[in-house]
Amino acid sequence: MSGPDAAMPQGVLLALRILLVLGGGYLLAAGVSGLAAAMLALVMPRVEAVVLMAMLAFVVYLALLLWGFTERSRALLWAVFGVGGLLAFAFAKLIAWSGGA
Amino acid sequence: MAGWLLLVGIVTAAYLGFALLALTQARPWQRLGQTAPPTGIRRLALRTLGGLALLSALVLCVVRDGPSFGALLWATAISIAAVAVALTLTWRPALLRPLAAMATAERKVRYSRMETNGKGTAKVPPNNPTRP
Amino acid sequence: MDQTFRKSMAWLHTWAGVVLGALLFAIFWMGTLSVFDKEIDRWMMPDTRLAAPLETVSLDRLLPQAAAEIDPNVGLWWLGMPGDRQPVAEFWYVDMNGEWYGPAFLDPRNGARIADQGTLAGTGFIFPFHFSLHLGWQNLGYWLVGLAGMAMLALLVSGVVIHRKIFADFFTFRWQRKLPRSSLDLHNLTGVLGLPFHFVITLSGLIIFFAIHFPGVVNSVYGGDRATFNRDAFGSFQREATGAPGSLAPLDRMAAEATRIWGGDPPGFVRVWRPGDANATVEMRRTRARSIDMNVDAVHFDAATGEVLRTHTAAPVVHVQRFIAGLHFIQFEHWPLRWLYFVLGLSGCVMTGTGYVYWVETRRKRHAAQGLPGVRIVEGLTVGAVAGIIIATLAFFVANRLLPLGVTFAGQERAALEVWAFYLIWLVTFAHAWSRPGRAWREQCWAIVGLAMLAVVLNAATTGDHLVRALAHRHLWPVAGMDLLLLAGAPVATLIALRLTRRRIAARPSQDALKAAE
Repeated sequence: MSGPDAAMPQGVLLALRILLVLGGGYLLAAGVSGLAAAMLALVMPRVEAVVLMAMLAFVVYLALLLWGFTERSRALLWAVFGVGGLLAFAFAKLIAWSGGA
Repeated sequence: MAGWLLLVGIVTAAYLGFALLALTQARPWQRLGQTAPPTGIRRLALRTLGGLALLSALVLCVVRDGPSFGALLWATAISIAAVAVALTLTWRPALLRPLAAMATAERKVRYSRMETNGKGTAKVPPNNPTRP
Repeated sequence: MDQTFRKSMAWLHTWAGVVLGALLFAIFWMGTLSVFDKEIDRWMMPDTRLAAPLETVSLDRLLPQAAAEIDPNVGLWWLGMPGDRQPVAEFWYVDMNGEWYGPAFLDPRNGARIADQGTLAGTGFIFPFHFSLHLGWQNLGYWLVGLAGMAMLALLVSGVVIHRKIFADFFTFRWQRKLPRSSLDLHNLTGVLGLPFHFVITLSGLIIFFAIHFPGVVNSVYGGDRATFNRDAFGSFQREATGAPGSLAPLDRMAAEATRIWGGDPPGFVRVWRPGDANATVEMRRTRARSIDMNVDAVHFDAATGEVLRTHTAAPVVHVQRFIAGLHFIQFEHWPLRWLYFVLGLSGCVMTGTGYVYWVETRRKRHAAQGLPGVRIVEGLTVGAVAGIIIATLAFFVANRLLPLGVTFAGQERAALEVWAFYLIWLVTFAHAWSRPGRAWREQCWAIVGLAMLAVVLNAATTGDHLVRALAHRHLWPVAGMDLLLLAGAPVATLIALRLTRRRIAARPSQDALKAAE
């Protein structure tokens, strides 16, 4: 807990973490599952790929939630949930806009 | 009618199974007014019997309803059976006395036989503390 | 185990529980009641308590007769077949703007429309509350329920992690001990022994609505083309209307053909798309009464000729999804399982409620000493969320028996008035809980006892189907079951009222232990 973090009150840090883990975790779970579904759709029926990954997305999200509330390194959290979540989600959205896999 | 009989069998087997498993633990024995649960081979026997009872409940479930409904019936029924055992221990522990008595009565026989076999284990103390 | 990990999990468990527990209790409570939604319908809609012989159902008689009473120019007719739990046929239609109208209940013996019972009852109010909270705007309710569901999964995992003596306490419930201990015991007992059910029921509940919660996964493969996805996954199929008038071939013959295709399983419901048009389609959906999965087996017929246009059955992974959905929906006919689900659902309610009681009781002294408001706020929340929603539900039942058919008040129809009764009474219970700390538990438990008894008396008085009569007739067993549960709930509420207000009971050794020590 060093750097600019130290200056912030505990409550704000906590609220930020909750937002990051809930929101970023959702984006990451949805994005990764969407990308995986798009790739799987190349090797299995499209509908099967979607339903498989949409079901697994809940498990992925659960794992991310549990990890997000236990991981102590804030930098890692921001990297994974913030950057990773946005990237994965944006990439999946891009594929969707281009008409899907 | 057969369906109902099987259902009674399932509930009984699941309840007995968890009751036997409970009798391998310390807290349930305290509730029965005794101090320590059986150890060693006695405990193993109780566990095995308990496991077999739960397994037979599963078999009855599958016989009654086929594999998919049967498995679901078993998975839900044993949860309730386990709660029922816990509530029995809370409010009517005496109901489990006969089962506990059988466990300890048989233990004497087994114990003496083990002694004669020369395999008596040191784990079982000579003065059975579970019998007041 | 790593202590910081366990601490994080304890933190997560405590705060996710305190913040979302009230919502979780509401979802669990309504879900538990939904196990018997159709039985609640029979209780709340007395005219639908029919002793209907199911063999005589004729679609050719039912559907045109129901449709004759509505605008002929509609988009869809929907007819639910009568079954073991619902002796009446159910009719809906969709107008050209996509608006649904219904349900109208039909006597399957002659197709006669049963008078509007003026209630949403179990299938119209309690069941949708369970998954949507009746918050339709932007699917807000679905998202809140989804959030609560994810929290529930996290609570179950973290609960297992922080439970230090999971096996030693496996069968432990020390009712005689002080409230923090006994409530924690009960919380652990229902949580651990019900764990498989609670985990599966929560995850399956989430998976049902995968397309709402993870629309991006569908879109990343299908773009925005939901119609194609729905066709691939669920067998949705429609044809463009021609505008030219068409005819309707015998429906019973189509039903017989569908039944043959499904190896003897009859249709569970029937849709007619663009009825009256030359391109009208009849869609038969296989009954879900006979297997666990919520099958999506469909046969589409050309309405005019009765020719099979298309058949559909789920692909393997979709079938897995439908099986998981079926585990949650329990649309199958299996009475022992239905009751087991009901009891396990109640155990989930107990787990949520006792979690709150434990939180409050372990902090009561400290918060009082430090002048913190937490306990007072959360205790009020608990009482309103637990006892309050039960009172509101009972008020919903009582209002149903008190309001005359066809009554309106302040521009609201009868069905809406019942719902108003539910929400207003629920609000009152929160106000009461926060304004009378310390007494609220006891008083609201007594209110539950009174309302439950009143509901039973009112059912007997207004319908004549009192318990003895209901037990004597098979078709009234749903009514008897509801009365019996109401009667069983009363002593339980009494017991809890007494227990929650019994303070400072010293931990005393049980009689058995005393005897043994002699």
